[in-house]
Amino acid sequence: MKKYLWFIPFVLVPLPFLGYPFLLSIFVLIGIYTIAAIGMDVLTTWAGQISIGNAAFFAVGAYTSAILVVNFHVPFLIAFLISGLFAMIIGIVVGLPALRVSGFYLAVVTMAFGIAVQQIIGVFQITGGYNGIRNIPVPSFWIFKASNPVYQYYVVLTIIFLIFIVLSRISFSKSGLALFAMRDSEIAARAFGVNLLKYKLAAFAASAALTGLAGSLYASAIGFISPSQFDLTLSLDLLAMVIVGGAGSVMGVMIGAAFFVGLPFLLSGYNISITIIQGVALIVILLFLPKGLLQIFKIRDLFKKKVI
Amino acid sequence: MILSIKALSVKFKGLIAVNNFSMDVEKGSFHSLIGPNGAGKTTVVNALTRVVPSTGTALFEGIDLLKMPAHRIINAGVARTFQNLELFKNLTVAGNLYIGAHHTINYNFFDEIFGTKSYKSEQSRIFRNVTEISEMLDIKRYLNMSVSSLPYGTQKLVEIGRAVISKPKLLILDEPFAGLNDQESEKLKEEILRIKGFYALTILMIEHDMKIVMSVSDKITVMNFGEKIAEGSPSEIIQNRKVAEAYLGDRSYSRS
Ligand SMILES: Nc1ncnc2c1ncn2[C@@H]1O[C@H](COP(=O)(O)OP(=O)(O)OP(=O)(O)O)[C@@H](O)[C@H]1O
Ligand SMILES: [Mg+2]
Repeated sequence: MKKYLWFIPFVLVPLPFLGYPFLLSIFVLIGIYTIAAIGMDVLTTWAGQISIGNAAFFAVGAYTSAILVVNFHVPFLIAFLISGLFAMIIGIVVGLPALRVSGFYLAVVTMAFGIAVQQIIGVFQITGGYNGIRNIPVPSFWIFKASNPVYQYYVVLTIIFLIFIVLSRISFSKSGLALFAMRDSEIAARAFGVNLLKYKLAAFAASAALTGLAGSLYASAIGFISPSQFDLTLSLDLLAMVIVGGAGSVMGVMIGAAFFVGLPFLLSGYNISITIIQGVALIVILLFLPKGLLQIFKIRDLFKKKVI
Repeated sequence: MILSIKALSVKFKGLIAVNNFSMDVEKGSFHSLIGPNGAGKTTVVNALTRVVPSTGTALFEGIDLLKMPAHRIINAGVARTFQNLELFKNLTVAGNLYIGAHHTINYNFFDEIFGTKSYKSEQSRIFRNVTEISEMLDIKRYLNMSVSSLPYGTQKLVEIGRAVISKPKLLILDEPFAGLNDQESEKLKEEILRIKGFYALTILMIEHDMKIVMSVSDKITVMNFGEKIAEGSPSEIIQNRKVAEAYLGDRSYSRS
């Protein structure tokens, strides 16, 4: 029970803002990016793989969902699930190079994939070319008319909560530890029966599925999508969210997403370059808080360690 | 005979690291593989565990290890340690030991997510094994500590524990005593012998410390320049002229 307590503030946070739908919709966006960033976290922090093409999975999820809902009038829930599934299949294909290359080369391969997907989307008619798709309807969940962002918020938070439960379940059992082992020493992992092929592809599949699901939610929450929303910057932002917040922890990733998605809105009234702030923050965090902003909450532990 | 290596060869871009090497390991024996630096000892083990490609055969209980993918070797019953530690350095000691049991875990992903009965019973079985091994190796108090925060000697024990928890029939140790002082060596020797007896293991050990090799081995195989140059009981090896020459460094002579 105790390990779920940190979730309570996130349940309560929209309550003071019920009259401010704009603010709430920012919270929704933060939640959506959190899901995508968890996908990045699983791939990098857990499995030790790298991808700077995850924006493509986000795009695949967003477009699959939007096309199904707009063109084929598929109910959102079904479109949502298909988006995750489709992104997952593509994730497995993208994972194939990871069986041969790693590190820098894998980064370049995944980056090329990300750029290629963005270009391809811009070409086809069904995706609306470079103009994208507009007027994507807001889904209604059951009794919730989800046009009120507070419902969207709780739907997204529930999804994050479910992901958290699954991740904490597997983090000290067979598949989670196999991923950690693969990350730390492929040679030893293999010697103890970890099938690297299976776990690398599984990591890419899980990462792509989560990112695709986030993309599906994003398309509906924002209402319009176009190729330029899914560029290299998005892939890098997802990576940065993991680093800034705290790799390997759902709460850390949430903080990272809040930092990258929420901050621009907060500062939008001022004449400050958000890119510079985020860049400086990234450097400062890498230098002084290698475990991310989450470490601030544990700062007492840090002092304790120094004493001992 | 539990392991029978025949005509094993390993080439690295022109360098013949292991050349037409054959060796039999008797079931239940303590077999040592010795030889000067660069003789090819580790490469033999790397070939057996499919870390490097090789030619020849290595029948383990009648099955050729050299035809298996690396991740199946542990299922056959062969576990190893590494000369330059290959621990999962961001995990705790418990996490490292847990992976040793990975191939024995009998539940699937859905059991994990939904926490089914078989998931719970398997998890507690493995935690019991982890505790048991850690008690046997006297590292129980480190179970929840990060493995990379531990001294070198303790890390080596964790590697041995990780191999033993996999319930192997053949345990291969690559220089377990390197870097330990006399006192630590003596303690480790006792622990290895105790484990060998308790789990009825066959041990193949690469080691440079002659005092230890002589005191524990049933049989010793000596390598130099990728080839076997001698084999026999400790007393036979002590008296072997070729072995003495190999260790004195007169390599051109010992080659002929
Ligand atoms: N992966 C590799 N690639 C290229 N050469 C290698 C590789 N592994 C080993 N070698 C070479 O093969 C030869 C045998 O090395 P090996 O590590 O098997 O020796 P060793 O008997 O274990 O020596 P030591 O007692 O120093 O550990 C050496 O010349 C070594 O440089
Ligand atoms: Mg060696």
